[in-house]
Amino acid sequence: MQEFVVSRSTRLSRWAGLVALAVVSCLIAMPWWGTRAEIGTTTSFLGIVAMAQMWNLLAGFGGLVSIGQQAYIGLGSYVAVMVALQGGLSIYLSLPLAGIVSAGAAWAISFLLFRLRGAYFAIGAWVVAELLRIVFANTASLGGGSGVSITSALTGIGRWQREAYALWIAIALGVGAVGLVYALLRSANGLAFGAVRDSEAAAESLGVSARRVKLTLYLIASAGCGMVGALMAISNLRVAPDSAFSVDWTAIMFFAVVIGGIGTIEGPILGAIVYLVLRQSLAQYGGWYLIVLGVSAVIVMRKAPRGLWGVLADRFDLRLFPIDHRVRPRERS
Amino acid sequence: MIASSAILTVEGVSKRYGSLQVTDNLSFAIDEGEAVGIIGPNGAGKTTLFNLIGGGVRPGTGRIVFRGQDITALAPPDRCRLGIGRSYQIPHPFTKMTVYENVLVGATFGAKLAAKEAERVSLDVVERTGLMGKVNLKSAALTLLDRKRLELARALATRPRLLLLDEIAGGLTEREVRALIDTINAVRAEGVAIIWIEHLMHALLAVVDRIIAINFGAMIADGRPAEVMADPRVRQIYMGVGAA
Ligand SMILES: Nc1ncnc2c1ncn2[C@@H]1O[C@H](COP(=O)(O)OP(=O)(O)OP(=O)(O)O)[C@@H](O)[C@H]1O
Ligand SMILES: [Mg+2]
Repeated sequence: MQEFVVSRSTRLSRWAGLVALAVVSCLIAMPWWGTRAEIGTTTSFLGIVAMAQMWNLLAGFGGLVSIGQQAYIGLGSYVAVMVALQGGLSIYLSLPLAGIVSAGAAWAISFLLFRLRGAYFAIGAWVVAELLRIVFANTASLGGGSGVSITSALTGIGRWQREAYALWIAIALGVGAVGLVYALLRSANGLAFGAVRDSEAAAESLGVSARRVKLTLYLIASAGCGMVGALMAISNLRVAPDSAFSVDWTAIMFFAVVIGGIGTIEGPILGAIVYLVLRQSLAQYGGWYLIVLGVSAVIVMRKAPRGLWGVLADRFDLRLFPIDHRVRPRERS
Repeated sequence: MIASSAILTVEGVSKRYGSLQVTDNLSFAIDEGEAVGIIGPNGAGKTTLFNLIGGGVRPGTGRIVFRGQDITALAPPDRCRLGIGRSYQIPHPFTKMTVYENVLVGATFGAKLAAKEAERVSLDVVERTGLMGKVNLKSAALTLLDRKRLELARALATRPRLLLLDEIAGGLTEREVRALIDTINAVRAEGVAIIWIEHLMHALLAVVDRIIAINFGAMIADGRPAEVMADPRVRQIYMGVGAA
């Protein structure tokens, strides 16, 4: 009988790894060569990449199309505020804390939310985010409805350093999110995620607990969004309930994932770039950019359901983050 | 009544959908290593019985015992890990995953094998079910027949003690049916108990040594194949639907 072996990576992926390394190195050095505006844009780009990756896990693998992930952006932002106003502690400590608090909250909320399916789940998640917004808007010690500034917590730190730190945190989150998703998808977890995505009934019959997979994805995605929320607070220096818990966050995640290509790692990165380019170039037209975003998302969903990355990957046979297994005959030596 | 050699015992199990009695007070036991065929007309409740044993559907009344353990309240993944593997009559492939990855899911989570061993078992199962030529294809690209092979392959990869096969021979050529019979008999030779729902009688008879006939969810015959096929009620049903 012929022997077979299973292999995973492709040559392109190693090459892409080197390019990615070079790009990340340039980004880390950005405070020394970039303008303030460039640093700011890069920071928000990486934040969007991180949250889009999280929403991609949730919707692209768990089938959990939530429109309430802003709950954790807001929660993470307020964790940063509380750490900052407590004094004593460095505000940078709020990042891991925001992740832990968000995962804990997500775990508690899951008991309620996971009773709902499909559209009810989506709306339920949004209702939870609204409730959180109302709670924080009515907490006077956190600035109430008009929000609170955290500049006082950063008085000892110069502007250049502050912006450099925010950028480096964003790099850690953006690259970390991509790396985490890649590692998860290549591990045995990735098999379970893909199985639940494609057929819950079959996955369950083959020993995969769909409920556990979904809960895992929800906790990871919520922790990730919580940390992005803390980043947003650290980089904007103020937090207000209406913007921290705004459904716009989820709209951005949705847009980046759908335009870029749901269920892929490359897609949300591409989608985040497209989002920022559209936002910058349409900035002067005010609210119109939302309409353009919405229309382009609908067009992509209709014409290219696998997103822009799907189109590119098919045309040029690209696989930057190979997660599939290739079986080939063992070469005789 | 429950022999200690029974791998599966179904005790007074009933299930209804609204006013439709789909499973009607079924009781039977399957021995370790036994191969049993299930026959009955369309809509008799055969697939529902598999859903009840596999855990996708909970019975209204009754109890299901697997290897001495009451599994009535267990979820499907737990039942799979205990050793119940099933194929679906309407295939549910993981369409965005390759054939190999589909099978690997069963070996990794159903059989709980470590990476290297899961790889070995998956390759072996792919080979045995005749899918090696398509091992790297996304399963979305498979024909219906190959999807049925994949159902069998994934179920085998979970290393079941009891294998539930739901109409996997329909549509195969005579040569393919013979290959399938050989595969199933080889699985059986390893001591795996098999329950096979099949309309293709000659394929069934080449494997099983006992047949259960059901109609309107109730058992109408249970015994050696020749006895069951000679049963007047079974003959009436089969003549009635024009099959032989
Ligand atoms: N989820 C459900 N809800 C309502 N009715 C159902 C459901 N599942 C099955 N039924 C009905 O139960 C009856 C038995 O279905 P089942 O699929 O078990 O039959 P079967 O014996 O496998 O038939 P076939 O030979 O066509 O595969 C059918 O009348 C079917 O319509
Ligand atoms: Mg059926």
